Amino acid sequence: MDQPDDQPEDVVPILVVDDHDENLVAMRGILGRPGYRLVTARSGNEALKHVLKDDFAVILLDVLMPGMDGFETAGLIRTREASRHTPIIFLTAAGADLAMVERGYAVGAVDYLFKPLNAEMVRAKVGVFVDLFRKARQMRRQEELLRTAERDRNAAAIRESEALYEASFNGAAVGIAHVTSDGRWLRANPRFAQTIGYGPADLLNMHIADVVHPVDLTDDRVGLRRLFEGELDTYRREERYLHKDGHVVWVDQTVSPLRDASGKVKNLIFLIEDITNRRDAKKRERLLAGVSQLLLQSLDHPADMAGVAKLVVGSLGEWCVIGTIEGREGRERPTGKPAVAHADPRLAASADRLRSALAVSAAYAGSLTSRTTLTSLTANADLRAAWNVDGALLAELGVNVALSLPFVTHDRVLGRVTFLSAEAFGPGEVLTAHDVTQRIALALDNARLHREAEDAVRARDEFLSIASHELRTPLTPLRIQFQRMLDERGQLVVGRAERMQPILQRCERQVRRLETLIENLLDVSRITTGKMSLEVSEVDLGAVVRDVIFRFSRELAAAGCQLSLSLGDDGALVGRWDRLRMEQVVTNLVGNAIKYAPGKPIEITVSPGDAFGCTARLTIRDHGTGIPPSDLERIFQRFHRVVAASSISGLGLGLFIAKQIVDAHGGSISVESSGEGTQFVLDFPLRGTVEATPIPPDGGQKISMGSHPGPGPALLGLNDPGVWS
Amino acid sequence: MGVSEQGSGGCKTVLLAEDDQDIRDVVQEVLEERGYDVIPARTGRQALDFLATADVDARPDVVILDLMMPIVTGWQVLEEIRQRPDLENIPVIILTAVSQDMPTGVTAVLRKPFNIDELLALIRDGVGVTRS
Repeated sequence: MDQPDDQPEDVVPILVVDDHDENLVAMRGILGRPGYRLVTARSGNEALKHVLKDDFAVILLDVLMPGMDGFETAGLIRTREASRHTPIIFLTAAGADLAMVERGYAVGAVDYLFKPLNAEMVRAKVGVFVDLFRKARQMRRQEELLRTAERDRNAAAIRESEALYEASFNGAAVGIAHVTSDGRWLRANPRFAQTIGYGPADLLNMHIADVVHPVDLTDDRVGLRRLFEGELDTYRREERYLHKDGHVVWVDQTVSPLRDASGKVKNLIFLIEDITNRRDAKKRERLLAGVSQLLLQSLDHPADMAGVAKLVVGSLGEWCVIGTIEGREGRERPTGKPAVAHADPRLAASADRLRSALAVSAAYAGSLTSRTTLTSLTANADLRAAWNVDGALLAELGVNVALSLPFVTHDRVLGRVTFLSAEAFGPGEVLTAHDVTQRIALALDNARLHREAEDAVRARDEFLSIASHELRTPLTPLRIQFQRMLDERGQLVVGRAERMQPILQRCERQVRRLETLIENLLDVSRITTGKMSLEVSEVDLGAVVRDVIFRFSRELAAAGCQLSLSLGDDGALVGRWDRLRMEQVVTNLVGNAIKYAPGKPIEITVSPGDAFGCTARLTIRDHGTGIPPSDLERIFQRFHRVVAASSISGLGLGLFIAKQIVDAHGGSISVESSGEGTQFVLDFPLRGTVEATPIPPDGGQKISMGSHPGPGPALLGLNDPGVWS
Repeated sequence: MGVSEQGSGGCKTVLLAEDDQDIRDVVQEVLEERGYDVIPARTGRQALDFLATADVDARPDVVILDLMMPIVTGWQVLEEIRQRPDLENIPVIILTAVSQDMPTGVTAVLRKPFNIDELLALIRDGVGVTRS
């Protein structure tokens, strides 16, 4: 029972009930002492009112009272729970009969005091109950204190547990969120929100359908309903969530029910772990392995871009467009139509339309040579600009973003792949796209190297065959001439010196022919290894040309070629050149003119190459059938012969060697040709780079000629004497 | 190289198709020393022209044919000879500097640089064949 606040703790209330004022006054006299608070009542009714308000240590109750007597009053006091055990001492006149005393005990009296009252007796009896009361009160208080202490302890434990729960929820390394039965997010921990790019509070206004991929949500529907209905304890699935910026996040999702006290499912607990990286890595591995395998299969022919495009769609967006280019740098053109693939076979018609549109789009062809990497462009607007194709066609594709990457190897652009998708590409996908692109680039480069190596081998084989033919041809008359000089016993045929002379002269010519051939082969070897050097001195270009023409007198006459030489009247054009190499160049060009235009006039002009006296120009023009345009680009390459190997003899090295020599002099050589003949124009510097190098002590100025990339002498077998045996 | 006499019965004609002037000249000289009539041809075209215009009496007894010739190759000449019934049995001796793609169904194939005695023996045999 709570004490009224104004009552000191050790003050004990005592109720005295008597209808006689003098008795009440007497009782005050007896019990008026510190620690006692005396409450008096003149009737049973008044006493009951006090009992309702107060908890008394003892009640002194007069038995004989008008109206409600003591017994009746005691009975009523006992009916009240709070006062059921309050000790009651009856006050009665001495000599009361036994029956009355018994009745008093029956209604709950604990004792009697007889009038006239003995003050000591009253004090003693009351004192006993006051002590009891005090003890009881003290025990109650202690009990109260204990209860309070326990309550405080419990409250602290609850607070601690709540804090712990809060901390685990917020600090968990997995995403946790609660969803209501109508699909709203009730709460989400930071990891959950962060996984899909939101703040925890953002989700509270959102629905599960705003986050879970529509396809997966449809699949989830049954599972979630069964959880709510208590048929399932957990529901686990890998599924796609939509990140705030639109890309897909793969999560391992476990859903379990959250029940209320009655065991009814109130909400669902969603537990998610981001497995995008794991999934992407696995997917990337599989995809790249597939791409590599496909590309390796097609090393010896143009790589199967259609196959690659088909393979990547579905994994990297829904559409894939691959275009490659061919041709020399600066003159590239697309290799056929681009490869276009879509994940959905029903869109084959759109893919065909796109392929045809891109095949005729100059903008698309131009984009293939660009080095720009375009990451996640807004597909429709940007693609229309980049590809210049019909906007309606692009709308048909149903894409929103594009990722477009160039193939670059050895600093050369080989083409471009464009991935198109309805949804944004995640960082993992961008990485994969780069990997795929790099593998295609490598495959294209490998294919190119393979092609070049094959070409080189073919050129070498052809060259060896031609070289063999060319070397055997002069050997034939040589052998016959030697046989003519010996009889069948191997003895020298004697006494016919006049017959021997022309034979020996012919032999000498064959030997010179062989020497020239071998010299040419060695020149190629020197050029390819960078070992050809120039020995420069003062050389008159006109004089060189005159000497060469003189040596061709017999051939010119035999071929019926009329040669005219114009040296101009500006005086000699003298430069610092290698005379023998200059002769070699002129010899090659005049020899070609005779070989390819027999019976036709040849015109040679030597003149200043410019108005400032910086260069000397040599022009050699024949009137043959000309060189087809397709061959013009390549005639300065090694082993290139304009006419099929079976018809015109020669190693096909002359123009290659001539160009290397002209280049080494810092000059230039060009060719023009039509059906009416061919004209070679050569410009040599009169002063310049050649002068810059000091003359070495051995007298001749040595200038190394540039190493020529491509198959060297080892591949050609030029250094292997066995090849020629 | 021994000097062997040509068999009796007048001059035998040899068509010599070879584009290399040095080879053509020296072979012609040797054959003429042996008493053959030599018709030199610098290209396959010239050889075919001769075969087309020559009447039966002027028909060559032996054809010496280089395979690599400009304008019309030895292969084309060989093809033409095979399609002419009147030239069906004419001996053909091939001269070649390459070792691959040898023609078949010819009298002989000589690889450059060849032995002139071997050529002379083949011509002698060839002439004998046509006679029989």
